[in-house]
Amino acid sequence: MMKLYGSNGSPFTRKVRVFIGEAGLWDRVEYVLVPPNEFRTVMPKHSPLGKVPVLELDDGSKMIDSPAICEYLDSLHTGRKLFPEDPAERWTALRYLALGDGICEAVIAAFRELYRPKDKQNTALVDRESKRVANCVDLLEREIDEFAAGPVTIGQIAAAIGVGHIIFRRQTGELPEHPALDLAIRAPRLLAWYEDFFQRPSMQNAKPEK
Amino acid sequence: MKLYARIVSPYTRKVRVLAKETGTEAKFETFMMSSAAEHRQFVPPLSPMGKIPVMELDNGNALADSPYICELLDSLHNGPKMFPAGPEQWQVRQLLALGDGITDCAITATGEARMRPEQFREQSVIDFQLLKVSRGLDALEPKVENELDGKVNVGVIAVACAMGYLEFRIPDFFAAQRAAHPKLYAWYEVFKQRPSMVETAPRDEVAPN
Repeated sequence: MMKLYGSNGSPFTRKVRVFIGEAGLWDRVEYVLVPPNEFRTVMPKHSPLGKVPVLELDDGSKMIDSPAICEYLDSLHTGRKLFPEDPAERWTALRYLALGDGICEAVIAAFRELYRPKDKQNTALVDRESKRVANCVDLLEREIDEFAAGPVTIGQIAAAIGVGHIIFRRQTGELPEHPALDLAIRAPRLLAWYEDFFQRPSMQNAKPEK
Repeated sequence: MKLYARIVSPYTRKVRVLAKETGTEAKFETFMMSSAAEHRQFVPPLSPMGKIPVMELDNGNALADSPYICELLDSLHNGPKMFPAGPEQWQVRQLLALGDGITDCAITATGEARMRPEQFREQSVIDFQLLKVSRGLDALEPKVENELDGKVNVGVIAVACAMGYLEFRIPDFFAAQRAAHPKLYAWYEVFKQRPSMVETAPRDEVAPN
């Protein structure tokens, strides 16, 4: 069995977990939850940069970087590929993968700021990152017909994880009540697509938790 | 196609080095911005994340994230592939992730030290990121003989650009890490002489902000 080390609050971990579900690979991978309080001591043993997720292969070697892990896993099954093989479809999927990951990175940057001591928090940065998220959301809302059409790809998975991470961090109160991040107002079609996508077993099996 | 670029960006450098190594430079136009102000002016309308490098495609869409831009360029030539096929591809992708990951940590550290308003800076953030960089370099040192020496691929280029960024922005740290990573530094001193590296070497922009 391969092992996936990750945390339930990490959207990049969730993306790989959803990917494994969509690729039908759970019979070959075991999810190993690294609790938040063990993160800084445990993860450097698995990855020099201390980031989740990490995939441990059957030979004990370890892979980092969620897009690379997903693409490796995609090579292990004979079903329809979630990284499309047709070049045009592939660039489209990778473009949405970058967008979804970009949303997560910006949400994380804003979220981290709120965990600094009060007098060290830079509210201008939180505002900047929130606007960056909002810009990505706007693009997805504009292109919803294009990217939601057709079978599930890595692009759709990453976009869903990005949208889900905004919602999750707003629910936990770890993202400021920035008006730009109210998806019901800003991106109703994207939100409706997400709520539908969220019903997929792969997503239900990898819900975000603190 | 049009690449939005800055001479100080190590991710931009990776794309430009790869373009020179693969002879694909003529496939796109390069818009070299010369300040953060130009960056803020020109990039967000094209790419919502606002980051560089970003490639404006012929259909007007933007492709962000330097690994994907590299892969796109690699698909446009028939020479030796920078993303090799076969079993070696995963090793190269891991080297790419490690090189970029080191750069990510280094940029977080320099962002804290240089760009963040002074009253909000925390030395603990800088120290933690540089600790991760040093662990990244530790992970590279045993890979030099098999994965770096004599090779040119996207992973090798990412590592070279990471080293180049450390040398450019954190020279004291870069110098201090040399003794613990003799093979890595010996390899880098040779690789950085390649024309693709020399022609893309970072330098301070005319207007820093």
